[in-house]
Amino acid sequence: MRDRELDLEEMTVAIHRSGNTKLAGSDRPVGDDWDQLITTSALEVGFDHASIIGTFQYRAPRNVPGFIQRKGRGGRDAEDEPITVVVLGSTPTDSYYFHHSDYLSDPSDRHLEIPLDEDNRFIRREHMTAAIIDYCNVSDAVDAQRLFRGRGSPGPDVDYLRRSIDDHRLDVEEWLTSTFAVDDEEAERVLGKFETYLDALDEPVAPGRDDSGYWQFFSRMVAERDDGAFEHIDGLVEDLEADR
Amino acid sequence: MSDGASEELTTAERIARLQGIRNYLENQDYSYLDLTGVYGSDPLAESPYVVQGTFIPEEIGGTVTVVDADDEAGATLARENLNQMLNNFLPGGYKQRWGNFDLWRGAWHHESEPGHADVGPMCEWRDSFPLTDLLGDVSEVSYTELSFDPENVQVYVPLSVRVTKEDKNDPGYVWIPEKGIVWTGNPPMRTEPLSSDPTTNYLWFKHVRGSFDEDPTPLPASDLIDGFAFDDEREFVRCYYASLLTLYPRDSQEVRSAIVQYRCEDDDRTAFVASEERSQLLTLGLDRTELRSRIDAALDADPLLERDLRFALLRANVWDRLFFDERALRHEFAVQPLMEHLFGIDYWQRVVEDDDMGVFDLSGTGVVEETARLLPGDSDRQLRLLGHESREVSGVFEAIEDNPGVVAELLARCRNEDLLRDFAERALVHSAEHALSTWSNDLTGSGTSFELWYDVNFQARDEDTARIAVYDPIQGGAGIAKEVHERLREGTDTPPDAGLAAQGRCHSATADRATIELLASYPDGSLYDVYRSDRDEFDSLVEATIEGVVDDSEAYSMADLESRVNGRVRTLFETRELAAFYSYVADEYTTVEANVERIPRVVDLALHLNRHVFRDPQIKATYERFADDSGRRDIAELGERLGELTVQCVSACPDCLETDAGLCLHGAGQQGARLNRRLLTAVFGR
Repeated sequence: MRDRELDLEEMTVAIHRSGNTKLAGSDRPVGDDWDQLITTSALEVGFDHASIIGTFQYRAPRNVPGFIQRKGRGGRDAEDEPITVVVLGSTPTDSYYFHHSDYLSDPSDRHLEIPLDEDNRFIRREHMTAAIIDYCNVSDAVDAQRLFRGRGSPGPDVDYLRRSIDDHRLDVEEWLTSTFAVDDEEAERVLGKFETYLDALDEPVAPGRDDSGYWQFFSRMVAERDDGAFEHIDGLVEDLEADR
Repeated sequence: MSDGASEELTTAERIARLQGIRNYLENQDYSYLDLTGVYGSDPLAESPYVVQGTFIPEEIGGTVTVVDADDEAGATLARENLNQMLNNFLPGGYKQRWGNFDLWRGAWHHESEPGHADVGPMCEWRDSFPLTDLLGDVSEVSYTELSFDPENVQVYVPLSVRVTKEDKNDPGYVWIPEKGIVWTGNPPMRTEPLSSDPTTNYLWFKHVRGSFDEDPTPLPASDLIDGFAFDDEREFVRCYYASLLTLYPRDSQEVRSAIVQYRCEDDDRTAFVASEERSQLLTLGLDRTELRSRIDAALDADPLLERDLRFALLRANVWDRLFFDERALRHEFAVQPLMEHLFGIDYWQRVVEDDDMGVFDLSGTGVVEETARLLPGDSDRQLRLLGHESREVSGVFEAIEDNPGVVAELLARCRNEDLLRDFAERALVHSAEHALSTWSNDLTGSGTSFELWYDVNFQARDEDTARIAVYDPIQGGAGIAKEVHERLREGTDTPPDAGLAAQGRCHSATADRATIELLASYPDGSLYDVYRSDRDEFDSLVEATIEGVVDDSEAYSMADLESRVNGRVRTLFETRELAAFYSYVADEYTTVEANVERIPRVVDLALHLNRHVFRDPQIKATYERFADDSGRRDIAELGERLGELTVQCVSACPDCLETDAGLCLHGAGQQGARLNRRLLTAVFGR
């Protein structure tokens, strides 16, 4: 229906959430057949649609680079002259951008940088944990194929991983201290936590009912996904609930 | 998983693991399993000692598994940030979320003591420990508005959160008076139907683990900041201890508040539900001796600031004592009307009774009498001009009349100069904490919202130093607090004292003040003609007025101020008649300010005009038009009109120091009263 006086016409509005694009107010997938798409930051980066020329941003962006990325979803076609509109709210961050609107319209290099703390201990420990696995991957002394693919059943061979770490503990520690320029104490902390977790992967899932270690059970359930895995898990959960 | 790795797993942890595997099978079609899949499904895997499947950082507090309590197998609905879960699903919280945007609540249970909910069924716990492990051997919890015996409190950290689905098309919210909780549907007991879900604010505090660096980096450029420190591994425990509900009974205009506390009935303990936040912390230490000395000087130099601060103390005390301790106010929104009555009494005492101490000089019965006087039953004068009800039916009058002893105590506390100075110091340190956050934003251009912390009990703990801090909102830290630390080490362009002081310079308040001064310069309303006929001349008048108001033009966006003043004048100058009225009132504003010796509120202007002899009959006619029928709250126009001509930001607002409620340690109540931009600027800008 077209409102001739105001020159308005109906629009198809879609909502993007959790990887799915649906017609607003329904569960019907809408594909590319929409005039306006409402989304969260899920489509902030890397969503290139040649038909988008305008972007509306509601409330203050989390940071300037994020704003630029969102703005950049419009005008992906070389002939486009894209527009962007920001509607600020009443929170302090919105107020901040109101008084610093030039940060959005004409950001300096300083505003486009996202601080990166290379020495962040928390992040470094995540990377050190991953590096322990990397060691196994690149070391000639470890059969990475067996470690990652297991033997017969899907999933890693955690027993073998545990033994490999034990056998090469000093090398792994050296690998961590040299790669991340950390002291022995820090390497030991991460290694110790990793080993503790491997121990926990061996804990039986439901003692007395199914004594399989957690990782072996997990692997078996993946293999038996369509063959009674859910019923088995539900039965164990029920039994454990009854014990409580 | 907790550090006690060799400890046997609990049944709850085993169930959570099985549910994690089940969720993996439901959501992943892969025929293989990798280490990332194992870590990602195992609720016992603990960051940062994990192999991540994603680069998306976790928000502080970490994530929990959300379990569908209605599903026999306990299907996993999602992984969500723990703080968001607690902020939405602890008792009193209802939210549309998973599935087909269904309506969910936490699966807590009503079988508990009156006014309590059993949160045991709502969560599997990762960890629990006595509150005394956090606070030590103390006799009371000094963080909380409510009283708790620390010996009876257990802190619980969720491993997973269970939620249950409600009928989103017909939830049928009810209040169960006997149990003091909100519920849905038709429970087999007496209920009171509600027109909607309650508005729920969660009460929480943050406790910092560990001690602080005793050897911070000195900051020679400042006499106030005695040092700063960076801590790249700091942990806070955020404890949620009660839900503050605002209820909307069906078929009634009267809202009311209720408080629901938490228990874990399996353990027979009062429950604080907690998240553990790990981040990188930037701390400044403030020299208390210098702070107090400058506060004394600031208050001596600015009597208006001192009186406004006295009212801020009164407001904070009304919240703590009348609302929480005495439960004398029906709902949290009753604090503002009560304060408006007290401001009105203050005006009357100072201007009519000629008592310099104003309302603070009155006894409890004196306040009752004065309130009654200002709420006449037979006319729409005095406070009734603003839509307040007559004393016969006034809820505010009832609260005052029923609690004269408490009211007298609160006023006596505000009269006490030592207590006022103590409050000023707390407000200043709190303000400096907020200012540190916004200044840090200026320094880095990050545009992020920092998490805030200051030692709210610093006056009892440390004679020398008050600590304020900011930390990154990403679990483990994002490096932004660290960048601010680096800037401080290198030396900032603006000295830190001046940087913090600048955060108290409020655009909103400055534009309000400039508007009033501009209009007051033309009390005959002739500015209207300039505005209509010579825009260049008008703009230059605006510019000149703003320059006369601001003390440091570098601290403001002058274009924003000009735009705001223009916008305000446009609103006020809709017609020649309105322009004349507002110009006249702006001129009177100065008189009122001198009389009450604080920033005038709407009630001051209303009471002033109520007894004013108008010089111009047309202005009088306009006033009477606004004042007519003001006895009806819904159409009380005078208050709205006068509100256009007051400085809205007296102590703090979102445009300067106030921040999101979820970030401020006083976010659940009276954040604005516990901040003071003027004191901040006076002390740090000296």
